[in-house]
Amino acid sequence: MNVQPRTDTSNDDLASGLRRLGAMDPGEDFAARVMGRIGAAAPQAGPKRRMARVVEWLTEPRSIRVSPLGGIAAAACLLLALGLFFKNYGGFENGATPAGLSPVTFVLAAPSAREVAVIGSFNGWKTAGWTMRNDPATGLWTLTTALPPGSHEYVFLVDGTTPVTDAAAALSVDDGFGSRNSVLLVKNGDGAAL
Amino acid sequence: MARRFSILLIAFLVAAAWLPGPVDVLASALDAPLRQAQDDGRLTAGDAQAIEASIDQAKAEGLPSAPFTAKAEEGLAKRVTGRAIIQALETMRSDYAFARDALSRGGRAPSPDDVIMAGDSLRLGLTRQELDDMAAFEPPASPAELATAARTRAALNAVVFPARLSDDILRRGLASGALSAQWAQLFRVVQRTREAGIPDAAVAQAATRILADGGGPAELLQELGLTGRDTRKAPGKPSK
Repeated sequence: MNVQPRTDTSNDDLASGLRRLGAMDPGEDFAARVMGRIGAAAPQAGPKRRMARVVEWLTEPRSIRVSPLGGIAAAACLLLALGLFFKNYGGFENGATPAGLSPVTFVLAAPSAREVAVIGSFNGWKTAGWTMRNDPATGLWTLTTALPPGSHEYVFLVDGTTPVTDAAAALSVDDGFGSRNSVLLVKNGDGAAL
Repeated sequence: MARRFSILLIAFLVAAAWLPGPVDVLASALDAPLRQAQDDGRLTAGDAQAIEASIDQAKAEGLPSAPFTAKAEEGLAKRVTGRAIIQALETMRSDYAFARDALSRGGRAPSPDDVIMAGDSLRLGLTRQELDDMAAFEPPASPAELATAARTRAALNAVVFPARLSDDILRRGLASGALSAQWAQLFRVVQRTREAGIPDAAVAQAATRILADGGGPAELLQELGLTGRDTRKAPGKPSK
């Protein structure tokens, strides 16, 4: 843009032009035409523009004001959620054994099974979080977890419908439904010699 | 805004802390699977009501209700019929009531865990007569010792250990007061000694000796020339 210094001559030209404007008739649709031009010239808020705004909002550092009470409540919520998660999903792999629990590995040879889970007295007979991992090369299904000391009854649930007892279990017990449960004795520190 | 956020969070926490209290957690745990089984057509509404009534009855009789809820959940998970679940609950209620009465003999007050252990032993292979006989031993043992004896005897029955030898071991254990919870794993010693070719009678003799001295199954293994070690600890490192 060229910016020229304002002189007396340019001021006179401007005043003259403005006086001529007063004599002009803009027409009845003047406002509509102006608004139409403005609308056409205005930048469109398209998807790209909106996305850019979102990215900008996400990446721009912001200050969040939280009262101490709110902060404590949020932290408590987080702890509660974590606690519920670890309570409901007891199965774990390659983790440290929680205090008071003993590591246990369940193994079942079922090459033709599509899905196998361990259900028992230790998980409320629910499959969620207790699905076993398959090794297609060997046909073995395994699950490593940690259980408290004591006597636990369990079976393998094959393909979600068929209970199968553990042939490797030291004991089995009548399940009251005409079949049997395997019994797992998890030892505590004092009984570890067995 | 921040204050409203805090109020909402606190309300959530209060609700989360309150819910497990007054609501019967065990009953509510069974609601969803019962409803699901009805939706799937595996259970009639009448069966569902009968299952809940059976659990309520066990509770009303003062029996620990958690195992009953667990048994119903087990039946639903195994997709057995509603009739089979009700039958299993009735058998369980009868076993637990018998166990509770046997352990309560002489004015003793068994804990729910004692009742559960003795009641489940009847399902594992202990006969009611055997439990009755042990409860009549003099001097009377504590309910916890009786429950351990019931469990030990049931497991020995399950591995077909001679009844006369089991009697000797448990009589000695109850008399000496040395029958700790670890003795419930005596059947594992029997399984190991059988693999090693050691006769059951030799195990019984050694067990009664160890019990008279106040020892445990680990000492029994050593007495029989077998050793065991917790593989989670380094060799020679004692258990804490």
